[in-house]
Amino acid sequence: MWKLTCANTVAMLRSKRLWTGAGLLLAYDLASYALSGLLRAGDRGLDSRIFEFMGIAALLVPVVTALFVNTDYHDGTIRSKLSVGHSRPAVYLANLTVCTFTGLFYFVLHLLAALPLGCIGGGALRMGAGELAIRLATSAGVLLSLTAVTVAVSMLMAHRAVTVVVIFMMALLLDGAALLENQLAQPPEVRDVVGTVEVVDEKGELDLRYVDREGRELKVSETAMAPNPLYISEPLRTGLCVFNDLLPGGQIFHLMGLTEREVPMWTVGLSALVTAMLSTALGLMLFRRKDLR
Amino acid sequence: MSKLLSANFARLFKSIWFWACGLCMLGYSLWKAANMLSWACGMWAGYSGDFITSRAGDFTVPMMIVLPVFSAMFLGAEYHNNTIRNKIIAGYSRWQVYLANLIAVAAAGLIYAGAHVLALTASGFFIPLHVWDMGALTLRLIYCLPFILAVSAISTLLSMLIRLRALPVLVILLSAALLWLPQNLFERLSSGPEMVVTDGVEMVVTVDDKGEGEHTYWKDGREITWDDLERVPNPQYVGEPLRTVYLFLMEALPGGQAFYLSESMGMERASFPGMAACSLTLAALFTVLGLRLFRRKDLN
Repeated sequence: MWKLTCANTVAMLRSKRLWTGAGLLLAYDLASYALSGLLRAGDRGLDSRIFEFMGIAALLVPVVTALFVNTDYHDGTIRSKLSVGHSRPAVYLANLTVCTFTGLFYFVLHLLAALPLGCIGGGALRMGAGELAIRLATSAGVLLSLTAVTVAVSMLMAHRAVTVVVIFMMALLLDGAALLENQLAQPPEVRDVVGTVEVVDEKGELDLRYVDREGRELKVSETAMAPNPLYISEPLRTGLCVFNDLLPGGQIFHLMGLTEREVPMWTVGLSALVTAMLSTALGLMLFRRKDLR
Repeated sequence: MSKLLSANFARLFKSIWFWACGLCMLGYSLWKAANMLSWACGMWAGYSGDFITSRAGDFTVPMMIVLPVFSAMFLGAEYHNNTIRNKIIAGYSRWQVYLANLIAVAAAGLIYAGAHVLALTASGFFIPLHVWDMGALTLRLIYCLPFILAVSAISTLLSMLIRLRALPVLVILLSAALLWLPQNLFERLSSGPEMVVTDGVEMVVTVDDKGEGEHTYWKDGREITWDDLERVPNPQYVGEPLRTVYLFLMEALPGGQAFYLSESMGMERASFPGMAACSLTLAALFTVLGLRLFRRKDLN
């Protein structure tokens, strides 16, 4: 498998898609800096710049992975590797290894670009070194999870349409995760009032007040809480939380801090590793039985 | 060329990509129809009017992504299977092959648009107070036709000239960029020439049980009107001639037209006839360019 991995690495390094992806990533970092970092220098912490990579990685890494694996199918390389004596698991795992390294390469490239740009823009790290280290390790886990799912799909689907399938799969994963998190963020109770009044005072601060049907202002103590019909209760709640935490989309949202639910980073990392293992095991099992004619 | 077209249409209706993309478009159309019914039978239950015409162009935004992807996969298969070479060897000229493919892609776009309109029209029968204005609906659909032609022309050019495995990715990125650009320009153009000074001003927003809001302003304990508030020039305002350039780009490019036709953006100076003219020009330009480049393309 070592020879396979070396061969795959050389093929990836020589391929245009790796460097095109790297160019797009650098262009994105520059554009992100130009649109936000320059206009509000120092407003954005460096932490958000580091982890915004996951947003673009959700598209970049699956596409490059799918193209790499599909080229192997198209050129007959996978059949050749099996013909010379490599086992199917070795071929699968070699592809997974190289694609994981590709994702990590892009992450390092992003750090090398985004950190200097963020510092120029006046940003600073807002989290401690320990927390940053945990988040970086979790990011690597989430990248592995993303790559494992994409490699599984790409190794099982030899058709050239795999890139389109992968893009739509990622769009569904991300949109689905956002929808689910919004639903899970619904509070168990809501204030039972007829109307609300938003008041912006002389200092520019927003204050929410409540009124009855006649427009008379109510004190908070005069209002009552009522059950929220949109609240998802147990046991469905736990099931959906676990489901969303196991999907790469949900893991990416947790990492980027876009969820209302507070989930420890080590849990996200663990979920990512579980996803990677499950998808690799399933992919290996199905690839063993795949007809490679 | 009639034989080429017959072969293309036969392949079109057997193509899994045609039906998969059609399913996506239909799903979107049904969602929009359901939204329309929910509005018409819920909050706007007592309103008597035309609900359909304003939504007739809603298919344009997803079509900006779906049609190029369909074209990339459908026409890309011709290269993959060497069908294009076989057609030329059989005696058809390159321009015939190109135009036959363009017509097939445009036909797919028209079928998707037709399915969208059918879904909306069928839903219209369930709205008790809906007012049917077939003239306005027909006119709106006529203005959508050049848009479909322009997107088909661009998609066909890319699919016939680029033989990369990553072509579907490229077209998705291009479509996303064409949709992002007008939104970005619209946001920049939304800033007014003046901005209100809010220091020392208290704003009260009252929302009643129907969801309607009313704004009132107070300064030094005295209620004042919006017109009496102090104003200063807005540095974010986009003035001439840049404003005209931005508005032209929004009207001329398919991305901006998609948002105008689906009434997702206000039309500051754009007009439907102007957009139709731009689309027809784009369709002609891209078709001529595609024909010329395809003539010289090495098909080995």
